[in-house]
Amino acid sequence: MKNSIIFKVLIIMMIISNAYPRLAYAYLDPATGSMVIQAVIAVVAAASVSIGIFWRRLKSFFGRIFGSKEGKEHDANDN
Amino acid sequence: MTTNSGSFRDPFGCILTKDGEIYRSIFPPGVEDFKAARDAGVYDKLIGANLLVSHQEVAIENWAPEETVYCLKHPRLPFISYPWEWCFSMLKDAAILHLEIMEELVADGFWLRDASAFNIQYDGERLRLIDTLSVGQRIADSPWVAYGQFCGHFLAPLAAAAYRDIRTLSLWRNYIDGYPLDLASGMLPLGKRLRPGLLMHLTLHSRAQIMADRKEDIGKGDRSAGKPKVSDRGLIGLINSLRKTVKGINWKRSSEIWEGYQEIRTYQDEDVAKKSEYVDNVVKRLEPEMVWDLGANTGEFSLIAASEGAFVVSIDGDPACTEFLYQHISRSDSIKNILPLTMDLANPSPALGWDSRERLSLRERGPADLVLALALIHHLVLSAYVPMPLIAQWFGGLGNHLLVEFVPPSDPMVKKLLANRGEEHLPYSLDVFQSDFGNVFNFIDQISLKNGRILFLCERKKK
Repeated sequence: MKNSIIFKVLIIMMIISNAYPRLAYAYLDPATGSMVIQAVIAVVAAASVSIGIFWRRLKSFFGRIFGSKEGKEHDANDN
Repeated sequence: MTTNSGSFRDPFGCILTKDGEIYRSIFPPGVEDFKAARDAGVYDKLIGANLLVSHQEVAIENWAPEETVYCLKHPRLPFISYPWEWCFSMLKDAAILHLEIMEELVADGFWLRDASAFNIQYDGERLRLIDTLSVGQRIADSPWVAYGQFCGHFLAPLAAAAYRDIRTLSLWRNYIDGYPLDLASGMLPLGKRLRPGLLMHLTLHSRAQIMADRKEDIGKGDRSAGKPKVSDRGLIGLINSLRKTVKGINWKRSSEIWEGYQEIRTYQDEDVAKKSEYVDNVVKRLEPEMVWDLGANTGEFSLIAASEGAFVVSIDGDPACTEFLYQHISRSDSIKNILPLTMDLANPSPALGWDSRERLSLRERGPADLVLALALIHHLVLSAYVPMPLIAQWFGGLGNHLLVEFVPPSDPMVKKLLANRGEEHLPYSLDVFQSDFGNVFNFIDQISLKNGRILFLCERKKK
């Protein structure tokens, strides 16, 4: 699920990026590009981690209310 | 004392060999991270989880480099191998190992300063990170400094191997600091290039690298003011995404050689049993610590040698064979002391890297106590056109003892090799074999199989 969200966000970037020409090779600093793309991916990835945490808590909450086994298990894991 | 030629790039420390023992010197730039990791119990945690090679702090002796602040002693590894020799799943496991370690570290406020495939080695039980100094304190809100390296060392070669051709793994020999991402991305079929994980970490990543190098930035110096940021949660998300992407890359082999080998083998079960028994007896008799099985196929005889306690480096040119053996050992609970490596034996691993001294050739990593060359030399003479005397000399440089199988010209497999060559081939006969190998080795034992093949046990002549 997570990867597909990031996919949708970044497909736009790919379309934009096609407009850029390739530049001088000798002074290429690939590390800068890695940092930039990583920061973009991380923003979306962080959101999906948060959603994951929220989702587990939500399941655990309803699990407690309805007394399901799943809810108890999640409680144990959270602790 | 000698300094390991593969560790000169790291300003934090270096690896030393003294009297056959392995030490690590930690220099002033590496002290802060080392102390922080040690005091936080991070090393103990990783070592306990079988992720990192163990160490003990030892007193600094006078042979250590002058700038040494701490000295660690590591257990000696049986054999150093390089990614251009690894099978697909070994590279994939090494990638996942990096991500597992990252996950452990990030929780404690640490991370890996680099993500180099060379930092992972097989120790006879499992893959482990061998570079203790890769562990560093996480720079708050900073992107993972080794992200680009991880993609070049793992994601790019794995994707190219799985989705273009498994043989692209040999590109490692040229790109020893990881594959250029645009090269790997360009090799992928469009459908694979657009897969979410690969699109992000490979395709767009390579474009971002190209876009980042702007002509107008030249001479502007420090660009740290606008540095991108990555939160802890973002970093965890990034690691999760990388892991999902790596795990999703699967190589579907097209070769049927694993299942087919038993069928194409032309000799009888009786001969197989006799050959296996002889290999077993030779290993029992010589008690070698290190065996190199050259042309090992799926490792039938490597397994025999390993079952007697030797560490076996099992080499074959077919990536499907090494993959098969690697998976066999990964699943096995008992036999772990085999390292399968892919290598064309007519073009064995050369010395590579800076000044051709950074990564060692196959020969430089020897000698082995025993070399197995079973059903190999007819391939070298008749397919690779290597004259018999050169083969004998080469074996002489690889090991002290040699168990070599001579396959006679009348054998169906030799006839098959010669089918389209007529008489135009290098000299190949029992006389030629005995004469050329006799110049380098003493024959100390031999056994003939019913099918006409002969196994010779040889010992290298003293110089």
